Amino acid sequence: MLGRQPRTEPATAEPNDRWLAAWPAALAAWSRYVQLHEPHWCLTPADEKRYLSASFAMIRLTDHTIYIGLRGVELLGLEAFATEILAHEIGHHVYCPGDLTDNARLLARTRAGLPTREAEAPRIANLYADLLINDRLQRQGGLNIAGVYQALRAPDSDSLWQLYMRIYEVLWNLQTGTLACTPCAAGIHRDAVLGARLIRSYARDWLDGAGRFACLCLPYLLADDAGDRHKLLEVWHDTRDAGAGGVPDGLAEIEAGELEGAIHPIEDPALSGLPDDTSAAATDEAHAGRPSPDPSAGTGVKSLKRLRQPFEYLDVVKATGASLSDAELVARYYRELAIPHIIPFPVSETPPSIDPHPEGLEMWDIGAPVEDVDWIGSLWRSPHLIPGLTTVQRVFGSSPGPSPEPRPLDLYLGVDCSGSMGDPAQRLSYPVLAGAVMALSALRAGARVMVALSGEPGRTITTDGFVRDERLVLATLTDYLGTGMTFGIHRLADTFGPSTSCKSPTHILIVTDNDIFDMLDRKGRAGVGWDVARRALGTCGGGGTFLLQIPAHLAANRQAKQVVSPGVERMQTDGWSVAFVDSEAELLAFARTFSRTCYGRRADIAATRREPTRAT
Amino acid sequence: MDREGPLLEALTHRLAECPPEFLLPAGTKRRDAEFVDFIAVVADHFRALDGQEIVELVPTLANSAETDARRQLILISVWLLHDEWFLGEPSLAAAMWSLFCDGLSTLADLVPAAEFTRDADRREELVRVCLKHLGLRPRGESVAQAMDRLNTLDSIERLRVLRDTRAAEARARLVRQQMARKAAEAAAVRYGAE
Amino acid sequence: MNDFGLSDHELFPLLDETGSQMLRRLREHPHAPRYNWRTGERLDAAGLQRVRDYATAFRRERRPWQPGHPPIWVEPFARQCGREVPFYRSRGVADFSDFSEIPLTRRDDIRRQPCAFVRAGLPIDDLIVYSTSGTSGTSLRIPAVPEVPCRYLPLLEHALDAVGVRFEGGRRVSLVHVCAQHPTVVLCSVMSHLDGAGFVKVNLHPDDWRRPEDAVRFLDDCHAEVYTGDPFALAELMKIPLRNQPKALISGASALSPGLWEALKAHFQCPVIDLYSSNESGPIAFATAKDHEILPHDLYVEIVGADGRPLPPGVRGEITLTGGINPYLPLVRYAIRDFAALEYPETSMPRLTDFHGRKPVAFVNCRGQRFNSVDVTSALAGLPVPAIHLHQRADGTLLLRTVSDQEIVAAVRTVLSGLFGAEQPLIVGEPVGTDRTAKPIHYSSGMTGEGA
Repeated sequence: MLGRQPRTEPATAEPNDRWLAAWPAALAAWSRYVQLHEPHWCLTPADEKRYLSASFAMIRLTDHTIYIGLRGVELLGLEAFATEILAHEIGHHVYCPGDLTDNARLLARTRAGLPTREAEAPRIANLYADLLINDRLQRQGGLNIAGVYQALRAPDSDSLWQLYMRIYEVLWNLQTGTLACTPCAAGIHRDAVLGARLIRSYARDWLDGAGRFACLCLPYLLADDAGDRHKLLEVWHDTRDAGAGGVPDGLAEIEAGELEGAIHPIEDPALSGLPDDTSAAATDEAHAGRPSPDPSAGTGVKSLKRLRQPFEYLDVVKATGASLSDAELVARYYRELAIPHIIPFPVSETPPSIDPHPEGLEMWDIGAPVEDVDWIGSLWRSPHLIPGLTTVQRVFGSSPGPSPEPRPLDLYLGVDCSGSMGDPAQRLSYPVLAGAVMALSALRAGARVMVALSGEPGRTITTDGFVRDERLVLATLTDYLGTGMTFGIHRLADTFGPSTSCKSPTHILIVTDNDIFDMLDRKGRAGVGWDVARRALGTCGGGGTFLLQIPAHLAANRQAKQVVSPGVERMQTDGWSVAFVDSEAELLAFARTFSRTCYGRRADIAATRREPTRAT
Repeated sequence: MDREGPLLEALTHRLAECPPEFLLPAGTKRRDAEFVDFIAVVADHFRALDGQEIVELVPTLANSAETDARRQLILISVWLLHDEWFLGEPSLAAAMWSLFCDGLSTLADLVPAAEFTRDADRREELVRVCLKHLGLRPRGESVAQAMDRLNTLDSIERLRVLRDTRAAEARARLVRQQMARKAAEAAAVRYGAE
Repeated sequence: MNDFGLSDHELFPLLDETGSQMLRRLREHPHAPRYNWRTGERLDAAGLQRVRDYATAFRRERRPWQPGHPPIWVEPFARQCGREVPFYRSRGVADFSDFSEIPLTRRDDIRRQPCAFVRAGLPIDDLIVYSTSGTSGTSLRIPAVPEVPCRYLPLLEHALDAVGVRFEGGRRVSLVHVCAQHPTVVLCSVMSHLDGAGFVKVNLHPDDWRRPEDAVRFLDDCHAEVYTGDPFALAELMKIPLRNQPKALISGASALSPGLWEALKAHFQCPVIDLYSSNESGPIAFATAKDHEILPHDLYVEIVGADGRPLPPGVRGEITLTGGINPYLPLVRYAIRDFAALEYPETSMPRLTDFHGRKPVAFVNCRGQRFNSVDVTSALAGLPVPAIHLHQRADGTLLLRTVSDQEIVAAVRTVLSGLFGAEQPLIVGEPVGTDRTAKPIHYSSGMTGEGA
């Protein structure tokens, strides 16, 4: 059991002179110019429970706070090391990790070196930061950090702790057995020498060494089960909640060097002292396995970004101690990726001098363009739509009028969340990302957005009508139900049906895959899917797009084409635009084309056949 | 290591200041100004130690130290041991001669000589190797401490172990990466119920 | 759909016209299940040849042995592993003098460092990985190559031959594997070893079909030659009113009770084989009536006591394996935590007797519905739970023992309340110890008496 018996004296009432004097000394150990507010002294068990966990100290980077549990320090017999403890905590704020962003970057790089043990990244990153800080304090700060670990000696600790202690022994020229156990296993000794060199070599550019340190620790994590190890590591795991309260930007992208840095120090000639292996086979194998370096390095051209999958993004952010919910984090992720692609959202245009206003209805001739049919008027005439018989066409006269303000089109975003579409929180979904780009573009332009997340037969959830709240829109968009087969196209009738008149011109964007063709054929309460869709398109006044996710292999498949192609044709005949998005390139192409296409009042625009957009 | 010698830091510092000429190819014949005269430098050192008999043996050393690397390491060590403290200990001359003859060859074959002036760990290692050979230990350290530290830094054993482990570690990393690929996760169809 | 970005050509390098038609038929069948895993045989010509070579070696080299006289390949195999396989090298296995003194390997060793079992020098470009479900253990990640699962087929053919059944292959759907779990992998494929015959893995759970009536129509249309599945799933299959009967059933994964065996034979009017197999070793033994006959030619089976030393014939102990179907996971005295005795007939392969293999355990949720203990393991798969013992008392109360880490306990409780219902009373008991010989996962039920 770690620690001494608790003393019989009452708990410390307030920090005594020793601690108050130690604080300026601890600051001075770093530099005369460091300014931090005094630590928060945790005196009562309630305080400890609130701010600390198993550790006797804790930091938080958002507000540069240090928490010290005076009782915990006492229990471990470390009162004599007040300056050392305080200087160490200061080190986390002024040296490593320093701020929220570097904290997150440290964790991402540590994770890269711990395949299958990523969950241990916070503890390993903490060990790495502690080594850097303590080495500086011991050798340049003139403090007795070694004394702290001597006081914490635990004879039965596991091999990872032994490695950690042995690294200190090597760094500070301490005899074997001062901190670690003797005899020292050969493997631990070998790795400790490498670890010590690592800490010295990367003292300045410590982010670059994080992956290597993690690789060094990995075999020890694999060999032992959690067991007693966590107890020791938790005692001084002061960075566990370091990132709480803030989520840095830029984590959706994998930075250059982040993956490449995750090599074992033994494979780094600068650390091992071994010359680069000259045998061809070994070199080939080694290079084959190494993550490919940034191909644009040195060319000055920015390469395609490497993106983290959403579940990895969640893991990295959560590892920092940030306390946002999974749903909030997924929305943040898509927002971060969408922002660079925001486009000017189309406005509904009217020629300034002519203000067409409806003068009446006349029968629609089946030979006239479908777009000219006034679906709403037709339905008032007869609830049963028989093209050519009951459909009517508005006749527009024109009269001069003031040019109305150009209004951005509102956006109805229908997203298929059935099983075939995949959970956007797991794998990056380009169609959902396209939806996010559209939604953010619309909101930026001042429009309102309605999101309908649907997996029918099953469930549909929507925003409460058309809203302007970005967080609500993104949260609904990136949610996932996993029910049903595809988007419930019949739901369009709820928003664009005759009973609910859609007040402003709206663009309908449906994000789905080839399963939609099945649903379009089905008959629901409001009619056959195709008809419901066509009517909605007629009513919305802003045009509509089907955004289909069809993987390349399916698109090339002859049998699949027999279903998909006529379906796409029919969509286009009905007046829909059709786009295919399953990759970053296709997403960008769609965004570009969308912004160039102009949507306007039906009567003023001759029907133009719209080609499906697909990147080649 | 019966006697205490000088302070470790003073010696490692001296190594860090080793003149760069000592690291150039050590030709025994003076072809141009860049070459260091190996025989002359070594002989000068022993002259300063009143070791006249040894001075006469120096040319043989030039031959028996077969490679440039060995000669360079000898020269660097000469620089190190030309420190004032050692010059006041002529009794150490014989031990120094024995060090240059066969105490440095293995090390020279394993590690590039320049590392012993450039790298902090290697500087310390060379100082300790030389001191040990002379029956000395750094001032302020016990015998146990000095032995322990030398073992920690010893390149011969360290590199042997690392070499063995490196291939295995590289292979392990490759296998791990291959197992983590998307294509690997896709697995292949299986026919058993297990 | 889990789509790993592999093209049809990468998934089926040997696809010919027969196979292509079969694949189309299975994928595009109007009543096809909701496939959720896109993979294939991934076997090229060289791989198929190696499978054929394996089948030839099986026929030629399958030989019984007597106690104390292991087959001649066993000791050289162990020494080679000791030299070339990192895990065994680090244990010093190469220097054994007495084979039975080699320390036992256990599931945890594989779980912790699967990479350490890949022999130096084996090509790793085509490496695939199996994540296993667990009726009896936490998930393993097993390295392999595509030919390894194909090696099962010659072994299955031998077992079927013993009951007079042969695959027709070609245009038939030769093998249908049924599950009754949720969730599970649902896929279709073709088998080059059987001339492009079809293979489907289906889930009898209604969520994995588009319409409720699809299952019976699809399966009838497939007219499988052989069904495989665990006893739970085969029992569910009996409830489906199939018109077309198979030639044989192969039951696996957990012990097949005599009662169910008889019921299956009567219902399907065909022979039923109980196959004892493990993810780590591949098929081990098969039974057509009572006792399980050791199946492969390259698997050495011992029965060992608590000290790891072999026991005499007829004495029950722990089944321990050397060899195995997977060159990327060579086993040397791998103790599999199942218990049986071995008998050694003069002229045929040794037989496992007194065999109580793994038994599935049925749990009951707060609404009185039964479900398989495999669902508990699946639900816990995302959590770092090294050990869990779950017992359901006769009154339905759950008794949970797991590790001492409170975060993990809380997470497990959340999962269990999702499965059983939040109202199901749950008591958390003593943490499971770290005794390496204890099963990390243990399910038992006081309601049904299983798993005790």
